[in-house]
Amino acid sequence: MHHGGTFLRPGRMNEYEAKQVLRDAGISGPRETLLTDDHIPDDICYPAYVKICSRDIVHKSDAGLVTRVSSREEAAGAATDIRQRAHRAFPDAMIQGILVSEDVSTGDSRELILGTTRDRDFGPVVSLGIGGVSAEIYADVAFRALPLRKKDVYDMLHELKGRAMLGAFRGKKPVNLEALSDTVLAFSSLLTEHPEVVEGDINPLLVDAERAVAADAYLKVEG
Amino acid sequence: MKLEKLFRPGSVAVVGASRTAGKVGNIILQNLTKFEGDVYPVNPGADDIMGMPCYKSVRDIDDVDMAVVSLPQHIANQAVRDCRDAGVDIVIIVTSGYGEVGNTEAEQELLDIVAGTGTRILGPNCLGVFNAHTGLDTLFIPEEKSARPRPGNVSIVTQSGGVGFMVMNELGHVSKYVSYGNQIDISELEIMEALRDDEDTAVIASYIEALKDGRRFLDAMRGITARKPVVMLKAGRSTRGKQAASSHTGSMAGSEAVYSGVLRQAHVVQTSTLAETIDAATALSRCHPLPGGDIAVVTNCGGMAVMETDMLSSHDNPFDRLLPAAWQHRLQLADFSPELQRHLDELLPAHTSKRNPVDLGGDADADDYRRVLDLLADQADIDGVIAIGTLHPASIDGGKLALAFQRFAERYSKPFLVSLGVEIEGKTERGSSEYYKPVSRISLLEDALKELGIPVYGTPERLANGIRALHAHGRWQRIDEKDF
Repeated sequence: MHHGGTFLRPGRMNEYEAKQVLRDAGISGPRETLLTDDHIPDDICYPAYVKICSRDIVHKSDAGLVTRVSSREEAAGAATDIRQRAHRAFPDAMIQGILVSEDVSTGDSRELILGTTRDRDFGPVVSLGIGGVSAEIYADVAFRALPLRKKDVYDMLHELKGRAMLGAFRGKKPVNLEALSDTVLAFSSLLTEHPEVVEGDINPLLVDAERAVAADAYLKVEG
Repeated sequence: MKLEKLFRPGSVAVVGASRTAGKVGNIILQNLTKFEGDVYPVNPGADDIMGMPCYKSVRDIDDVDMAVVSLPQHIANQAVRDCRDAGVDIVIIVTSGYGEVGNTEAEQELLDIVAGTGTRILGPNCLGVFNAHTGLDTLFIPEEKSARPRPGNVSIVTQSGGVGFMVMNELGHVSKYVSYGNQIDISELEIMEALRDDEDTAVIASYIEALKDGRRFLDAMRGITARKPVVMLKAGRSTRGKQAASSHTGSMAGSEAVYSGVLRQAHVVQTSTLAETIDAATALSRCHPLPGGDIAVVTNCGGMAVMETDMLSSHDNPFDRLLPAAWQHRLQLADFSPELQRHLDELLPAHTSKRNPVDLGGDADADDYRRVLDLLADQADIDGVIAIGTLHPASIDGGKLALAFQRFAERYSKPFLVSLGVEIEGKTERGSSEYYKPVSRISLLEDALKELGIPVYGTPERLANGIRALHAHGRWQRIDEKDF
């Protein structure tokens, strides 16, 4: 399918591809490099994450395919290790490479989840929820149908029971509300421009006093 | 107005009118005797019913605006064909046995019958329309079972005829009621769009199991809620509830979380119980807009005021201060200004509580209420006033209290809500159904206040439902003004 100038390949994107699409839509991501030969370049800033990059592997962390590293040596070891583990756990998966992604979290970072699904009654909907390890337990998430306006983003945030964690909290500065709402609106615009994106999420969306960054993401295109 | 004839037909034919008391076609005809327009019974087997000449077919009558079809399902569609041929504008199909039991072929046939014509269908499987201003009443509920409400400014749009009828009964005053059942043709949205333009409707109260077209609904709803408040109870939230909704009106109810988000997006005032729905509609239809969230409470029953205070004290979330002003107002008890505090100290005796909530004490009389209300009327930083009275003390004269409330309501341009408590006067024999009827000084007084347009509630929690609805709608209005 072809909309709004850019072509999105049908199927599930890997993390690197998804973040490229998000970046083009105005949603920033970490500095990152996709390695095809496991040679770690010199210009990576540490700490960083080394992750498997495959369109076929959904839950990378659960399968032990994400490692946080603090040096070039660690990164090289992790890359080899992760590639071997991925081959064992997902023998049929096509691997596009190893992604080395700088750790953009700061002492002020909070984790949110920004997602989209197709609803039977309302079509494409955007979800915004509190992230982190307990996200599924609290299911603290707000939904809106496309297209979103700024007031919808504010009202989604107001709807979240755990929203206090986005304000001044345990020595953390309040998050940058404008950066956060700009990101949600950019996501909404991307989905309006590309109705063929039927599923996806940014998890985590890291938000702090300065900015909002898509630390991990996937998108699925119909077809 | 596109559906003008749905609310204000000049003439109504009852297809399937019956002489037999208790039959649907008899009850509807009986109820229509109060209708200000023309009424035509249609029944091939009768010459006259209730003194009205009876017609063999609707095609024998000139110029019928509305026809109510109350026939068994296997002959109902033929009657709709006749209505179409006669050029009837609105056909209300009361008959059930269609999509709600899986008979979608019969529904498709109905759509084919009216396709490309000017005839529109309401239903099937519905109670139809009531208009308190004109006496239009197609509901097959006998008057002696349930007297109809007086004219008011709330209109009810309901997927379930019975639920909407209960809402209407307890409101006591309504403008219009539309039960649309399976909505194969006229949708809930079209009805609400028509009510948006209806001058006699200030508030729309609705009961929904599933929307006919969610996407269109969202697009159009903002245009309705920008004009008048829409209160909506969305039922069928649980998995079993969804199944029940499917066999009730033939529609599948969608995901609760998504519905809730979308209804917020459309600036709908959402409710989750019947009581909340009634209480919200009562407040929104009778109160001025709530400019903020700071409320004053005055009472002669301290305990009631304590409960009301608990219910109005929402949590102060520090994050909300980062959001624009519309999200910062929260319901809470107002802090009285030093000047107001001084006036209250001068006015009230030592044993009373002069802070908010103001407790006048068990020996207070109507004059005490009047004096305190007079003071509160001029406070710019108080956004609304609640009076929780109990009529039980010997010092309270109910009539004088009602007058004090009326005087205050007339001069106050912000919300004023009243609770008089509940009592059951058990004068009749235990075991008789009358025993449980709350006929008392309170219900008479409540009635009088309602007639004056003052929202009256039996309990503090129901009053809180009302004020929460005012607060929710106030936020949507402030957001609309900013247009971001």
